[in-house]
Parts: sequence; structure tokens; C-alpha cells
Amino acid sequence: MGFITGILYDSVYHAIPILLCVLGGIFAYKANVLNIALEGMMLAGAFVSVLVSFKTENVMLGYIAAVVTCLAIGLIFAFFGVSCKGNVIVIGLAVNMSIVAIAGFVLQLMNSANIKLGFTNAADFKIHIPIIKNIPILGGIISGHTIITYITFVSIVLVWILMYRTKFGIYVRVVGENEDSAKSLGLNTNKYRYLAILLGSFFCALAGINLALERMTIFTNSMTAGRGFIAIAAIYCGRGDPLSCTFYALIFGLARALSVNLSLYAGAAAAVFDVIPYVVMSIVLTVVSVIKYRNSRVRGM
Amino acid sequence: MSIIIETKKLTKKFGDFVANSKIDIQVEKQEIKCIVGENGAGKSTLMNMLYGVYKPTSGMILLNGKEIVMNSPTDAIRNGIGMVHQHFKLVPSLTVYENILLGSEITKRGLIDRREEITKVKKLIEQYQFQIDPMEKIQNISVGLCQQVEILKMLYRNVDILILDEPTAVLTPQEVDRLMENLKALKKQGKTIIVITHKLREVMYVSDSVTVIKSGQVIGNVKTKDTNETELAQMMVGRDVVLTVRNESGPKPREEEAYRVEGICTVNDSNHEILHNVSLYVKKGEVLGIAGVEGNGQSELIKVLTGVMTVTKGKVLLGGKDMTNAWPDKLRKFGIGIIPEDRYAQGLCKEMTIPENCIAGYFDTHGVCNKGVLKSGKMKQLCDDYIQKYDIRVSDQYGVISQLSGGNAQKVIIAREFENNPDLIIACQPTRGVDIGSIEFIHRQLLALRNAGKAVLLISSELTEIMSLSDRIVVMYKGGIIGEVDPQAASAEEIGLLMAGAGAKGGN
Repeated sequence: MGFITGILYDSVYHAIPILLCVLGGIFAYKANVLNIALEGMMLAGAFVSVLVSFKTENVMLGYIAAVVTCLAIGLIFAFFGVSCKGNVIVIGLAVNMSIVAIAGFVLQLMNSANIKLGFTNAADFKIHIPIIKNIPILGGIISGHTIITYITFVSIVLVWILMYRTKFGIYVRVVGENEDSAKSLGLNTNKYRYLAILLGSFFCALAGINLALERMTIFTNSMTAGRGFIAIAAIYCGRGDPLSCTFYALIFGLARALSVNLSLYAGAAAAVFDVIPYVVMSIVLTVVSVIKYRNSRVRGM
Repeated sequence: MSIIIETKKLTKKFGDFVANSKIDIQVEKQEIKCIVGENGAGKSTLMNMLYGVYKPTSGMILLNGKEIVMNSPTDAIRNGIGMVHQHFKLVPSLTVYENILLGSEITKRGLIDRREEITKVKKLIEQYQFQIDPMEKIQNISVGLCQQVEILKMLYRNVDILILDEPTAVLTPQEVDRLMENLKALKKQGKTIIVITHKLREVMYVSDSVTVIKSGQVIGNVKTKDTNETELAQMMVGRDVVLTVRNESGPKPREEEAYRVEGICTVNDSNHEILHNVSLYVKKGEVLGIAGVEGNGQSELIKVLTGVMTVTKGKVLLGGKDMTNAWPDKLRKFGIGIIPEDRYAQGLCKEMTIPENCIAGYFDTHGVCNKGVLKSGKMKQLCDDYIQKYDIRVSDQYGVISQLSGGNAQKVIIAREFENNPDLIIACQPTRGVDIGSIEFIHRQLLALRNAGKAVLLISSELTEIMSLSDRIVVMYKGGIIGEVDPQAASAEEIGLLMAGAGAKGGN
């Protein structure tokens, strides 16, 4: 029983950074901007949150600094990609590589392989919800997560409302789907692209904070380990719909939880289980694609 | 009747090129005004100035006698001028009502008030007697309905003057009729309508007055009741044109069969059968026309016959050779020429040059390719030949293909396919969006090919085109062939009935 509860708790735990990236990325996806800088922005969030907390010994400042930094990166990305009409893949790659380099450089200066907070530890960030935590099984899965985890689950609903029930959401989708239509209505298409990208940066900052500061109070370089790209995969599988994308993000979370929990029992072969998330991702992508084109008789699709 | 909108010496220059020169037009309140002219005559430029997209170089626009200056379409709408573009500006994943209200959503506490929106749109639809479901998504409705949505979008914004750019270019005959009725009803409700078109039959049917534009200048203003199609065509083209090229004088079709399709079926992405046992044959020296209301399987049949889609059952034979599920390159190699339905999506590569497009799909002929290396000299020579022989009007003969008007781009495809000596031509909507002069030319080319003993399979939603060119006509309905008629004996009404699915009588 403990094993299953553990895996489910871990699924939530591991799904959160991906889920946040997904929530951030879907607006850019809908606005037809492929934001591959999710990974870099998340890493920046992780790095800045831990670095600032470490220097100031104030976690709140770490949160704020991470969000501000990611929004700044988002602005840069949007400026080059939207205003200057640069190639978003190249810009995204540049962001991803620069962040790793900058973080590496700072670590080098500090003469350390990682930044570890001494004044606090991961247990301090866990919130144990009264009443719910005492419910068997469910309590073990739902309770004891960090504040951003709960914000994430509320955000799924908020993002859905924002996407489908507000002018902003409709306009973002219009900009992505038929720019001519948006222009003929006098919409400032660039404004909606900027906002979509910045919203993504905000959520990536949260993802980074969650990954480094809240969960481990530690930063090591490249610790995002491709989660931003897994998020992109989830967005494509769910075609930008908040609920289906959430579903795919949870599957990837479950895969990682499995890999972590199974390696605990595997001894020397533990490393083998590290491949589970990536194998699961390949399988899911294949299955989604096969289902989509199962009956297609049109060539070259 | 008072004049609602008027232009005085309106001129638009793009660099040195004068698109519109001193245009004077007057539109009366509550009339239907048609602006006719060939492709490239400057009709769209004029309308874009009236809709605030382009700023006039000189001259002025008067609305109810007062000069107005418009900087954007939003200004135009504020002045009560609305436009429905030839290419719709709708969002496929949104519903009809969402598209109508796009940009003027009704909100309650920051959230969209869907109930209020739907009620308003329903009222609007009722008021103007359109027939459309506001909850349907744009991606699921026909082109005709999309156009209704565009018109409603403008009506919701309370425009008095409605400009329609080539509104019938993409419509089926039935949808054209509906549109005409809608326009007449709108006129009765006090709207003024300006229609840009080059389809003269519709001009005669719906308009009150006509302005003819040629090379950026007004060359005639007439009341519709004082003119006729032939006169208008002469004014437009500047010479006599034959409006319908008829298949009458040539030799009789031979008895030999060139092409046979036997019982083919195929399914769509959700595994529904969309072609049911389609069988047909074309003899040498014969034009077989396939008529039908759009969306009855013609597109799928074209895809299957041109090798972009595969069949689940059935056989395709070209002169006895099995061509079932063959790829397009094999079809071309064995002598099937293809004029595709959408010339830019399937027939040409927009970013490439004219010479490159002239050899697309045919690298092994005319010596343009030697051991995998293209010979640009040969390509240019071939391109020059085509331009001359097919009267293709270009400004830069080796430049990109996208500079060409619709009619001339179509001629490039026709030159390419005809000059490779095909035994069968599959011609899909060969004159869609093509000007009158080019239509006459394309029709003559198709008949010349027929008279030379080749087979022609003509698929078109223009019934008049099918009737005047074909030796035999088969009618498609709901993915199958519902009947065959003899164009000499049958009337348009009879074929119309078959197209609507009313029994397979009158066939043979």
C-alpha cells in the first residue's frame, strides 16, 4: 500500500514542474509561437530563486526575484521573436544555452558544484492540510505538498477559464489561428503574442522555484533535465487544451515517479529505470499520432 | 434617390504603378451596384480604399456629401461601411456566434456572457432571415454558410454599405442563388450593396447599375436594364469575347476506352465511407463532365484519381494498365495530366520561379535534367515557349510565380500538363477564380485536346462549364454517382434535380 501511495504522491510531486510549464506554454502554443525556451526559463527560475534566497537568507525574495527574472527573459524572447520577427527556434535555443552558461559561470565563481541553502530545508515548504492529511491513502497523496503545487492545481481551472471564457483567451486563439482575421478587427496581434509569452515565463518561474527551491532547497546546473521539452510534448499531445494537456503532464509525472521509486529497489541496475520517462514519452507520442491518423487515406499526412 | 457614397478623382499609386487613376463613381442609397472588370483591373484596390485598407494617393471619398478620411477598416465600420473579403477572415475553431461577435464580445464581470451573445446573434439571424445555426463551429460548415457569417458580422456592426469582393467565386450554384436572394432582401431593408465581380450573369440578375473598370480607369457607367452580358464583356476585355465555348464542331468520340474507374470506395479520417462504388469511363476524344454540388465526394474522388489518397476497394485502369493507388509521379509518367483543384496548394509552388514551376513533376522530359542536374538554360527556354504559346502575361518571366494573376498562374499549370503529351487530363475546377478572357482560352485548349483524340475528365462546380464542354455528364451525390445525362438533351434544371439527389431519371 505504502508503495502505491508513494508512487502516486511522487507522481503529483514530479508532475508539477512539467504541469506548470504546460500551463505557461499553451498560451504561446495557441498564439502560434513555438516557445522552446520553456526549459531555459524554468532553469532561470530555479537558479535565481535559490541564488537570491542563499544570498539574502530570505525565501520570499527568492520567489520574487525568480519571477522578475523570468519575465525579463520572456520580454527578451518576445522582443526578438515577435517585434523583430526572428526565428523563435533559434532564439529559444539561445535562451536555453545562455541560461546554462550563465548559471555555470556563477557556480564557477562561487567555486561550487551546487548552491545549497543552509538556513532552511525542504520539509519547511511542505504544507500538511488539516483533516485531509488524516484521510487514509488520499491524505498521503494530496497532503504534504508545497504551496506552488496547490497553486498549480487551482491554476488549471483558472487557465481554462482564461482560455475559453475571456476576451483575452479568445483573442490569443484568434491571433494564432487566423492573423488576418485578428488584424481586420483592429486587434494588436503583437500585444497578445507578448502577453502569451509572458504568461508562459511567469509559470516557468513557478516551475523553477518548485523544482529547486521548494522541493530540494538546492540548485545544480541543468537540473531541469529536459522537463521543458517534455512539457512541449504534452502541449502538442493535448493540442493546447488545458485539461488534456494536464492529463499528459500527469502521465509524464507518473512515469518519473515510477522510475524513481523502482530504482530504489533496483540496486545496481537503478540507472536503467531512469529511461522510463523518456520511453513513456516516446510511446505516448507514437500512440497519439497513430490514433490521430489511423484512418487517414490521404497520402503524405 | 440620393447618393450615399461617391468618389472624386480617386487615385492610388504603388510606386510608379498607377492602380487606380481618377476614379469617379457614385452609388445611390439602397441600390445594388456591381463593379466589374478583369483580374488586375484595379477593382480590389478601389474597394480597399473605400474600406480604409489603402490610403488614396489623391482624390476624395464623400459619404452622404461629406468628405471622409479613413485610416483603417475600423474607421470604415464606424462610418457604416463593411466589407466581406474574397478570402474569409473567420476563425475555424470558434463557433458562428463567436466569430460574429469577435472584437465586440459582451462581457459580464470580465467573463464572456455566452447566453446574451447567443440571444443577440439569434435575433440578428432572424431579422435578416438567414439560415444558420449560431452554435456550429466554422470548421464544420460549408463555404456558403461561412460567407453568411461574414455578412452577419458586418450587419451586427450596423453597416449601411456592404462591399462584397468576388462573393460567388467559391460558391456552388445553389449557394449563389441563396446569396442573391439574401442581397435582394438586404436591399429591401435599406442597405446599399457594392459587389465586385466578373461573373456577368450574376451582374445582370442582381444589380441595379454597373461600373466597368479597365486598367485602373472607369470606362463605363450603365444601368443594368439598359445593357446586356455581351456588351459588358466587350467593355471589360476591350474586344469581342465568346462567353461560352461550345463543344459542337469537333469529331465524335472514338469507341476506344482511354480510362476506366471500377467501383472505387474510400473512407475519411473517422473511417466513414465517403466514396461509394464510383465507376466511370472516358473514351478517347471525349470530355466526361462530373457535376455535383460541392461536398458530395468530388474532392475525395479527385484526390483518389490524382494519387494523393488511396482507395479501400476498386480499380483504376488507364488504357488497360492498372493505376490503382499509384503515386502522382507514376500517373504522370504513364500519361495522366493533372490540373488540381487548388492551384496554389497542389499545382504550383508559390515561392519558386516560373521556369521551376514549368517543369515541376516532369524532370525526365524536354531534356531539362541531365543525370540529376537541372539545366537552367533549357528550363528558361521551355518557360519562354510556354509563355508564348499559352499567352501567359508576366512582368518578370523568370521571377517567382506568385506575381501572376489567377488566370495566368492557371495557364502555367495547363501549359505544363498539356505539353507533356498526356492521354488523359484530369481537370479540376479549371477556371475557378480566372478572368473571362482566360476562361475562353482554357476552354478552347481543353476542347483542342479532346479533338486531338485525348480523354478529358472535367470536374467542376460551374454547371455551365460542364454543360458546354462535356460529351457526357455524370452527376455525383453523397459520394456516389447518381446518374448520367446527355448534355445535348438534358436541361440545366434536370441536372440540378440530380445534383439535389432527386432520383436517377433521364439517364441512359
